[in-house]
Amino acid sequence: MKRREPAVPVLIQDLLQGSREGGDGADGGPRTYVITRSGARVYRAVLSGVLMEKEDIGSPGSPLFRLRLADPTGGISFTVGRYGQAQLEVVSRLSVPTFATIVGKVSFFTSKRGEEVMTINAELIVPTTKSVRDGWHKLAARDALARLWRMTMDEPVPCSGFEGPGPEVPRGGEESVEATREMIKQCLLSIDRPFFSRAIDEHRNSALDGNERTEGASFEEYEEQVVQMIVSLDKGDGARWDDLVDHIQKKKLSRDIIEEVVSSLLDKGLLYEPILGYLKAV
Amino acid sequence: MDNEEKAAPEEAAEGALGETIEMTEESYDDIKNEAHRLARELGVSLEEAARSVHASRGTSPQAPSRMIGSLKDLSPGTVNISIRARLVTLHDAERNEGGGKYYYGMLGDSTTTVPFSAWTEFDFNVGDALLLQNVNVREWKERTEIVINDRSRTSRTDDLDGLVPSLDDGVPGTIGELVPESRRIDIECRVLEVQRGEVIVKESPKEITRGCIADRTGRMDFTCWGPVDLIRDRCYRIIGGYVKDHRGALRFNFDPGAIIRELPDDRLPPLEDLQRPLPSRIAEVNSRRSFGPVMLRGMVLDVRGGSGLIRRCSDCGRRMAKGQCPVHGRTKGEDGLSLRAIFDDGSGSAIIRAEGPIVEHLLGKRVSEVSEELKESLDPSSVTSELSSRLNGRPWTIIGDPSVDEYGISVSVKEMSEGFDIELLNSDITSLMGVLI
Repeated sequence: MKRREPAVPVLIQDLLQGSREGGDGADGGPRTYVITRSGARVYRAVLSGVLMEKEDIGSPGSPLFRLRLADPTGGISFTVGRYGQAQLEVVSRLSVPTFATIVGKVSFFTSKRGEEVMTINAELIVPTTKSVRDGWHKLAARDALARLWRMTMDEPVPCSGFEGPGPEVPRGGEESVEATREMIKQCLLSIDRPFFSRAIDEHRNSALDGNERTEGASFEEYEEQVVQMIVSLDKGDGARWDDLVDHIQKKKLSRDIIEEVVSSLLDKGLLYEPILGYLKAV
Repeated sequence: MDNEEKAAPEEAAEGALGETIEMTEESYDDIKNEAHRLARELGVSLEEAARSVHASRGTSPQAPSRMIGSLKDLSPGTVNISIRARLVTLHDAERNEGGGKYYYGMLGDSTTTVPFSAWTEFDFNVGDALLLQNVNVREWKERTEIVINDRSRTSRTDDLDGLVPSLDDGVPGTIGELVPESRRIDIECRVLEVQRGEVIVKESPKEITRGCIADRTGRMDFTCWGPVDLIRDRCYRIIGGYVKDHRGALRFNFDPGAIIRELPDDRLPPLEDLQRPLPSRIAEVNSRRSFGPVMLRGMVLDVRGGSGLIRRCSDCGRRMAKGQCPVHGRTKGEDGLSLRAIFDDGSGSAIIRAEGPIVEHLLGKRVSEVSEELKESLDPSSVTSELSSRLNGRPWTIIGDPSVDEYGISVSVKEMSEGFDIELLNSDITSLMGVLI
C-alpha cells in the first residue's frame, strides 16, 4: 500500500530539541526523522505561530526569502525559493508579523560555523488567525501530553484516539520529560492563562489531596510557607533562587511542588523577580 | 433426502395412537394402554391395535409421525413430522380479530435455522432443546416454516446430539476484535440495517440477507447466504460464519445455519448511538477496517487534480472523460462538482472525495453559477485554485465512509465542517493534566 508520511502537529521547541534518527519510511524508503522530546516521530510537521521575520535575500532571477516562525515555545527559520512557487507567491504577498500555519518536511543543513541546523522545507504556508493558531497549539499540546502520558503513566490515556502504537522513546530520560512538561505548560498558559492555570491548580490540589496532604500541608499552606521563606531569605534585593533551593533541600520539601508554588505565586502577582534569579514578595 | 428421513417405530406408533382436538391427556393414555394390551394379546402390531381401538371408540387415528433427522431436510407441505431443535428466538403476537396469542421465532440445529409459528400454548424459553411431534411444514412468505398447532406435542428433550450448543457456552467477542479470516465468530450486536436480496450463484438465483451490525466497538457489514429472520434495531448473539476482507472493508459472512439468538434490547447501546459516526484517527481506520462512517479531525494538505467542475453521464452519474462515459460511451452529460484532496490528521493521511452539494457548500456557490463563471473565464483550473485556497492548511472535521485498498485509505465525505472542536480539545487537555503535575 502506498503511504504518505503524516504531518504531525508539534510545538517548535519540541521539534528543535528532538534528535535526528534514520529509519524506514511509511513506503519502505529511507527517511530522516526527528524524534521529539515528547516522543513524536516527525518527518513532516505542522507548525503554527507568527511569522516574525521576512527577509528578501534573493536576486532578480532567483527569488529567495528567509522567514522565521515563532510560537510560545521557540522559533525556527526557513527559506522559500524558486522551487516552491506556490509558497513563494503566498510569501511575497505577506507582511510580517502575521499568523501563519506551515506544513513541511523537516530537514537539516550545516551552517558556516559547522553546526547542524534544523529547518523546514515548506510545502504549504497558510496565513491564518489567532484562534486557528491557538487551536493548532492546543492540538499539538494535547498530542504531546498524550504521548507523555503513555511514556510515564501506567494507566491508559484518558481520552480517545491514542490507542495505536506507543510514542517513540526520546533521548534525555527524565530530564527531557520534565523539560517537555514545562514547555507544554508554558504553551497552554500563553493561550488561555486563567483557564489552564485553574485546571493545573485543580489537578495539583487533587494530587496533594492524594499524596502531600498526608504530611499535613495543602497547596495554600505551601504558598504561605514559600512566601515566609522568601521574606526570611530577602536581604534587600530579594531572595536568591539558589538560597531558596538550599532551604528547600534542608527542609526536605519537594522541589517540584515548591517550583509549582512559586510559579503560581508569580502568576497571582504575589511574587515578582526584581532581578533575574531573585524573588521578592509583594 | 428420503434416506435421511427415518421413521421412529415407537414414536410413529405413538403418533398412530392419535390425538384429536377433543382428546384429553387421560383418553390418550387410555387408548395407548388399550392398544398396547391388544397388541400384546392379539400379537398384532401396535399400529394395527391402535386402529382397532380408535375404531371401537369412534376417534380418528392420525397418520404416523415421521422423525426427521435435521432441520435442513424439511420441505414445505410435509405434515405430521417429529423433529428435535433448539429454540433460538421466541416472540408472541395477537391473532387477528382477537383470537388470542400466537408465538413465532426461530428453531435451530447444527444444520440450519428455520422459522416457526405456534398456534397453541408454547411455554418454553429461548435455548431450550425441544422435541416437536406432529408438526407440519409449510411455505410462508417464500420461506420454509414449522407450524405447531394444537394437535402437536412439544416437550423438552435431553437428547442434545446434533443440536446447536447452548448459547451460554463461551464469551462473545466484539466487532472491533474481528480481523480478516476470523472464523467461528461469536458476537453480540444490534442490527442497524437489514435487507433481502438475490444473487446469481452457479447460474441460479439465491436469496441472501445483508445489512449492517454494530456494537460498542465498531460496526460491520454482513451477508447471510440465505434468508434469515433478523429485524432492524434488535439485538442478537450470532455464532458462526467468518470475516472476509472485501474491497478493503471487513465483512461478516454467515449462513442460515449460524446460531442466532435474540438478546434483550438493553444489552447494547441504542440504535441512534450506534449509528453515529465514530470519532477516529486515520491510523486506526487503517489498522481496524471494521468501520462504518467515521469522524476525522485534521487538515487538508492538497487539493488534487480531478477536483472542480466535471462532466457526469446523465444516465449513470459516472465521471466522463473527453466527452465519454466509461459505460455509455459518447453522451451529452451534465455539469457536476467534485473534490479530491489529501487529508491528514497527524496519524496518517487519506484521500477524501466529495461531490455535488458538499463542494457547492465549500465553494459557496451552485454548480450552475460555477459553470457560468467558467464560460466567461475559460479557465477550468480556477475552480481547483479556489478550492485550494479555501481548504488547504485549514483544520477540518469530516464525516464519511472510509475504504482501504492498495492505494491507501479513501473517505467518501458526507459532511465537512471547518475549525477545531475547542471544547473537546480543552476537555482532552484537562483530562491529561495529571501528567503535568
